[in-house]
Amino acid sequence: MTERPMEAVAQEQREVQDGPGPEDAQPGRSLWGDAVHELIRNPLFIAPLLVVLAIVSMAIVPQLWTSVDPQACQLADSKQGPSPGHPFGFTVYGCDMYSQVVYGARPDIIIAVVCTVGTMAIGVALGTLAAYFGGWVDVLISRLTDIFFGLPFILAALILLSIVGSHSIWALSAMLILFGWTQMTRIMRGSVLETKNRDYIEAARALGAKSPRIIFRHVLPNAIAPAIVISTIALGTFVSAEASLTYLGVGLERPTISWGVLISGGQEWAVAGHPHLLIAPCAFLIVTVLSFILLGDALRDALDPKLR
Amino acid sequence: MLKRSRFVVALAGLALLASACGGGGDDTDTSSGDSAGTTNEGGSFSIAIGEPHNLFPPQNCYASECSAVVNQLYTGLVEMEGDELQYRVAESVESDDQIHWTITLKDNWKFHNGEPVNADAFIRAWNYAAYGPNAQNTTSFFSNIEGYDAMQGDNPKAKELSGLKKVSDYEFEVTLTQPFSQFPYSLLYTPAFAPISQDCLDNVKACNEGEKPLGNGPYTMAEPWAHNDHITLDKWADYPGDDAAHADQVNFQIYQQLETAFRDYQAGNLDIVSPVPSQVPQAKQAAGDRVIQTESSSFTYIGLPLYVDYLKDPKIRHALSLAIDRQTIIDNLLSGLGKPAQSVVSPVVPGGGGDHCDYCEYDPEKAKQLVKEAGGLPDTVTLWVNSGAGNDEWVQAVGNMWRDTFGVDFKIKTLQFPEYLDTGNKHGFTGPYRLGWLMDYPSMYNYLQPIYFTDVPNNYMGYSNKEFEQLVREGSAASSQDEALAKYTEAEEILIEDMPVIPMYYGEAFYIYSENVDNVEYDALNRIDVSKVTVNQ
Amino acid sequence: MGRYVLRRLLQFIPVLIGTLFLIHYLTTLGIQFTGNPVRALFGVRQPPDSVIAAVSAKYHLNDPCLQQPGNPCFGLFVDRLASYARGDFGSDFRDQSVLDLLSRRWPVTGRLTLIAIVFEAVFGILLGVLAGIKKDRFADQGVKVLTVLLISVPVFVLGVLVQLALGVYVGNWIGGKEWLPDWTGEVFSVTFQGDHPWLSLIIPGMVLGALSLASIARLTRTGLIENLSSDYVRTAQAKGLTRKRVIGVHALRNSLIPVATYIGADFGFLIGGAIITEGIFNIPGVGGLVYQSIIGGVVPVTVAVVTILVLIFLSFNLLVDILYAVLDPRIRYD
Repeated sequence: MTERPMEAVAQEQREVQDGPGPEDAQPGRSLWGDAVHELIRNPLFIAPLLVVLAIVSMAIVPQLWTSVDPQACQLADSKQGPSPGHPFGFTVYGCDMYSQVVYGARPDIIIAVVCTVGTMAIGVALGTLAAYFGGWVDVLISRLTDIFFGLPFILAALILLSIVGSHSIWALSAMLILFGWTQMTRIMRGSVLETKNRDYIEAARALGAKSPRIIFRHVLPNAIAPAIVISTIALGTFVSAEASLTYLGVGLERPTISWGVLISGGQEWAVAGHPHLLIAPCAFLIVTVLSFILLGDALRDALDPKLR
Repeated sequence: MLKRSRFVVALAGLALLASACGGGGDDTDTSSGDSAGTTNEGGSFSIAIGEPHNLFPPQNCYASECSAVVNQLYTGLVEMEGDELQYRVAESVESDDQIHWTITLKDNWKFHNGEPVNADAFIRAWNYAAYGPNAQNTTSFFSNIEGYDAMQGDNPKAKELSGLKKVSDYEFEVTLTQPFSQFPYSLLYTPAFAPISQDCLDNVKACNEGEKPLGNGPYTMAEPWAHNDHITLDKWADYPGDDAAHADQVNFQIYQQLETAFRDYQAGNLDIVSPVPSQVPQAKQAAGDRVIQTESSSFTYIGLPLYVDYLKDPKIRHALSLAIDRQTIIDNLLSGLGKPAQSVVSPVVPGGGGDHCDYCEYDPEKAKQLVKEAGGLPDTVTLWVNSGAGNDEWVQAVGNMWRDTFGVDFKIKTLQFPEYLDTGNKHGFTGPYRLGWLMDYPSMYNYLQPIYFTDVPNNYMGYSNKEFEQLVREGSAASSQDEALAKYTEAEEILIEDMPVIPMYYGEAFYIYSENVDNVEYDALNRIDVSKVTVNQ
Repeated sequence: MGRYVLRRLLQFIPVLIGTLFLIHYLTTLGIQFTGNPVRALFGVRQPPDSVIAAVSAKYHLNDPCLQQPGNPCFGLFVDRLASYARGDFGSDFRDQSVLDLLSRRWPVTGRLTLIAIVFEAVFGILLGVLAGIKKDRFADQGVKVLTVLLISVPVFVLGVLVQLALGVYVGNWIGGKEWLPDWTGEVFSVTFQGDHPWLSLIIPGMVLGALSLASIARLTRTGLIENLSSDYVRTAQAKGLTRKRVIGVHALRNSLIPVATYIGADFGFLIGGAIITEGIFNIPGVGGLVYQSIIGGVVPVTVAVVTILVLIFLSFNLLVDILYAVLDPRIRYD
């Protein structure tokens, strides 16, 4: 019953934007079913999905993509450009760049996914609670956010990583989550603050719906868009962050192979006349991030009833 | 500040001396050509440096950034020309027994404010530096002078070195705790042994915080030190020495990262700069023949903690060394700025650069053989490196070579410098670690004693060999330089056979300069002879 | 509204103490786990232990609790609060007072972040609006690709590329052109020029703001698309208002709420980014100071700088929260 306003809006809009279409307006399908139906026919969803699947398969089974041992390096080949059998040339250490990039996907995909999911979970939960309930809950969460936000990340990273004594993927991810959730929390809080005063929420409340139901059925679906946008961006920034930490001397433990390690290790030589050291790892990173962002956009468009 | 900022971590011992000393038999002449005949006076030029730790008192300066400036503000007792020790402020430095040294001064030297540079000026400076509570960075230079120990601790018994005695206004006597034939050479580290004016000592704070120290060198401070931006020096017109400055003004431009400095050179904003290895090919192209590439005093090594079980066997230590292809590392990761080390004393030092090592050639087959004989390596070798100095690159290459040769895995532990030193102090390294050494003064002694004597601060290996130490002591007690060098070399041979460290490479300095300047010379390690530089107008 | 501001100001006190304590605890743990920073002052050549002890005592690093890993050292914390209350912020290991250091460096970083924020806000919103009103068309995809480039190229790569392209190549080209005004040379310089503290910071500021620009463009786009399809916009359109006015006055205003939140929160992030940007462009600002003091274990500088950072950051937050009320009358404070 409380869903009526949303559905009404969605229905109305579909007519306004697309006109009545026989495929689109099948009344029996659920919201999710609609979304899936729409997504599989959207090339801007399928193409990035294929890219992401490819990258994820690289992360899980790199052997599928290359038969070259990434650790078979000859320093004498250092920084050599592309040649037959070595399409991207060689790294600073004389390793085959292509196989390094393939094997380098795993740490970055793990870090990006773990950190995005982690910050998203914390940020959405705390941000929603703070904005929805207000009062002392809001004060507590907001001020806690302030405390964490004020600390320079690099300080915490330097000290905590040396205390943990490990620069593993997991230690790095935990660090990025510990100091990355604040942004998401603030965005989510702002968004929920705006949503919770909308008419349909008021209506739901007036009709006696309980808080959990209002939050999950009405507030979250309408307030989560900025969080999704930021999180698809964050996915890319976490990989950049991994590279930057390596550049600052607190990144992944060598000789781990990752895109960030390749980028930070190649940067100095690349700008001094060996651009191919940056091109391959950056291209993989850019295409991956672009795919995630396109996926995020398509997903949000499909799930957001207002945009139909 | 970042990964590649060579400046920041360039603590360590210091670079001092004239490279033209040719002691290793190598031709290290680096003069910029025959333009000496058309010398121009006046003008100004700029050099890139890192932010110095401090400028006053000079005794608190123990890093290459500050000494680059302090060496222009202060002139020391001695100087090096060719491989000969030359007197500057000193008239003579002499001893019969290598314990009691008499230093006679010339009587025409003055500080920038007109105060005379006399025996008192040196005695007050050295006492200040030796006094424990003053916590001067160069204090360890004075530890072999009699009375040093009484000046340490919370409430030191003495405020003055009992081993310093004024004989007359321009003569004083130094008494050492044990014979030290290299004493005159050690005086070449100017910041430690510089004189201080009474004016400044009365008010250290004013001289320090005013950022305009009073020295006796060819240049004076033109304006207070603009932190993190620049330090400008003016020529001192009344300089009494014969090495007076040619240019009227020199501007030390302060950079956080060296590679930025080269880009500023490319944009025409800098005259003298030392590009990082990755920039060397481009720099050579940009500068044409206006390039200096010459041996420096730096010696880079891999320390082997002898308290780690598998490193106790000399065969393993030799094998690890044999499995490193030094030349390929130098060619590919250092752009050729270095020479494979065959021992532990840099060729720029008299008696250094010899080939004493039987295990420093690249010979993977022999390496495998030795490891087999010794019973193998652990599954994973942990390599230690300090972050921020651009060393991780070649250390990882070494790891790759060990992996290829021995089939072991390796792991690199990266620590910030304070933690790195602390770990070394506590004997916490669990595998080979990298460190380097720059000489303080050109003497084999300065390469042998500070790293390998029992329990000296740099001996993170836990190395101890009485025979080696005895030979070094005999060298220090020798009455002639030839005899001293012979003893030091004997000691060096014992050391390299023990192999507490794997010698990696001797560094090379690389500078380029603009068409604005000429007569740019590199006088020993890490020091451009600033007063010789002329400006083309 | 007044009560709301007052309440926020009161909450400021526990936040400040909380932050101070957190930073104090982190730096304390740092010393406990990584060793006495005084040792590194002397580099490889270690002086006698008595000298180390003397220097440690001078900078209050000799407290026994600093030897006990995990001990929060409440005594030291109270001492620090007390000396802050007296206006004494301590000094670094060269005896330069922290206040002097900050007064030299804040103006530079202040300018840098201001340029970054103006740049990211203006261009981010412009690009976002462009993408939003042309959703799924060429302009939208173009903006998307551009923002992805900015997001995925790490700042230490972007910064150096920009420095090479604009500082060295364009800068050299400009150097030979006398008909160009002088200021162009200052803008396209390789490094920060103390004589031109605004002009030479424009390019570094843009590099610093680039990452956030991407986020702002994306946020604006999303917000605009949502609002354009909402009831009140369609009502406004139905009333016969022009599209320009609908977008400019109604839709955009509401779309900017998450953008405002983001910019407010971005300030702290920019200081982090400044660590790398300042290093590349040789800018003597706070980023470098924080980094050096962290690496070198110069606790008084680290704590004081971060404290001031938090103060500024919290003020921004307060401003943003008040801005909410202005931008969105539906948000009520009670």
